[in-house]
Formats: sequence, C-alpha cells, structure tokens
Amino acid sequence: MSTAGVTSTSSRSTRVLGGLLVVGIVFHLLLSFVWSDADASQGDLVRILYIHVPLAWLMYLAFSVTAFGGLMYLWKRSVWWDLIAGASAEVGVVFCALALVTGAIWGRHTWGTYWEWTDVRIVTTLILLLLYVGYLAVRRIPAEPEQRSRRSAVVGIVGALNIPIVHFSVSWWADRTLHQKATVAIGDTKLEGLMLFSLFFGLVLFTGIYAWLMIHRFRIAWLEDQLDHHGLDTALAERRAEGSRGVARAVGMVGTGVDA
Amino acid sequence: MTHLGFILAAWIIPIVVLGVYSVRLLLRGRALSRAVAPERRRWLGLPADSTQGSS
Repeated sequence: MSTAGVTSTSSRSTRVLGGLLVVGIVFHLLLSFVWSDADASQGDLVRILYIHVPLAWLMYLAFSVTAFGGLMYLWKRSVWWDLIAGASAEVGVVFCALALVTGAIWGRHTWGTYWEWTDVRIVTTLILLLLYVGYLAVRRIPAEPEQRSRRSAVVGIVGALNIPIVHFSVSWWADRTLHQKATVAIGDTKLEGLMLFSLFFGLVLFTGIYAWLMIHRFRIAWLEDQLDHHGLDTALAERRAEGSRGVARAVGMVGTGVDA
Repeated sequence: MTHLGFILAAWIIPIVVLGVYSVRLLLRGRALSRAVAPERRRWLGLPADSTQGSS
C-alpha cells in the first residue's frame, strides 16, 4: 500500500470500522435503555452492567495483550511487539479506570457505597490499574531503547499475574467481597433473553472499540518511534532539499541578470 | 426508570472519555503523520530495521 498521501493514522478499514462502531453504540443504547427490561432484583441499575462488564472484560484483554506483547518482545526482540504492548497498556488503563468508575456508580445504590476498601475485587482492580500506570511510567523513563523495552516487558508480564487474581477473587475470597460470583459462566448463566444478548452485544461492541483504539494508538507509537530514530535523517533531508532549492533560485536569478 | 441520574452518569462518562481519547488519538496521529517521511509510515509491515540492534 502506498503511504505517500497518508496524512493521518486512519485508513479505509478504520473508517469503515469506526462507522460500524457508531451504529453499534446507538444500537447498544437502544438495547440497554429501551428494549431490555429491568432486572427482577437490581431493577434499572442492571443497565449500568451492560457497559461496566464489557469495560472490565476489555481491561483483561488489553492487559493480556500487553503481557503477550512483552513476552514476544523478549523472545523476538522486535520493536513491533514492544509497540503493541505499550499501545494496549494505554488503552487498557483507560478501560480499567472507566470500569472502576462505572462500578462505583453501580455500587452506590446496590451496596450503599461508592468504594469499599475491604472488597477484594475492587482493591485488586485498583492495584491492576496502578501496575499499568507504572508500566506506562517505565516506558517514559529515559534509557536506551532496548533497555527500556526490556524493563517494560518484564513489568507488563508481572502486572498480568494480577489478572486471574482480580477475576477469581470473588470465588477465592467469597467472604471478603460484595461482588456476586460470575453472572455469566459456561454452563451456569444467570441471565437470559434480551438481557443476556445486551451483555454479549456490549462485549462485541467494546471489542471493536478496543480494536479501533489499538490500531490508532499502535500507529502513533510507530510514528513516534520512527521520529525518534529517523527524525534527524528526515530533518537533514529537508535541509538539503531547501538548500538545493535556494541554489537553484540563485542560479536562475544570475541567469536572468536580476542581481546585476 | 429509577436511579436515572446514576444510570446516565455511568453511560455518559465512558462515552465522553472514550470520545475525547479517540479525538486526541486522531489529532496526534495527524500531526505525527506530517512529521514523518512517507516511506517510514509502513506501520503494517515489518521493515528490516524494526528489530533493535540490527540497524
């Protein structure tokens, strides 16, 4: 594909995906607010879960991709995997923070509090967020590129060890959490009908949003990397081109006797 | 609908945050694309010098 005319990180595929996602968001809003009924026990608050649960799942996915990218980097030593890991961590931090905020809003009426320090899932999720904020900070510490990538890969992999702890905390420490056990599990699903469909549609929609954000964030990381490593080459080439144009103008003016 | 304010807040905050983040990514990508030479925007490929230490 020619990139000579490219002036953004968008491409036809990302524009098509973006359009589909906008339509998907409208459809998901209709599903969540108009077409699905209130829950028998939670009432209308269940509508918050149609956005909270997908955010939490995508948080898991994003940080898992960061850990996988880190592993691949340590194996292949390819910048490509390092950039994938970094891009996914940033998107994951956004999803994780939003999962905590939406969970707090849901908890205010369900449990009577926005935040509960004794709830093991809330606290381990906060630790997950802080681990990957730390990961992003490690990526910004001035160092040799290879050293920085190696350090951040290790932090990304270690941080991902917390993912199963967050997920299974409601089963492992059932007496230390306000959260209910998994609502949707293989062979034991407590939702049905349009409510279950709304939840799954949300998962698909937010996976698409994650993909769109990842493509753009990865391309930005790629461009930043190119600028860091080849910015001087580009600047020199531009200066040479300017110099050549200046000489050509001067020769032209002499030729036409303008300076006489 | 009960608790409408809380439910709307739980939806509006993520949509606004993700919207602002998306726009920020698009603007940053546009600015960087102008600064990087066209032949170095091959983000979907794996150029020979993408492996650290080989260039």
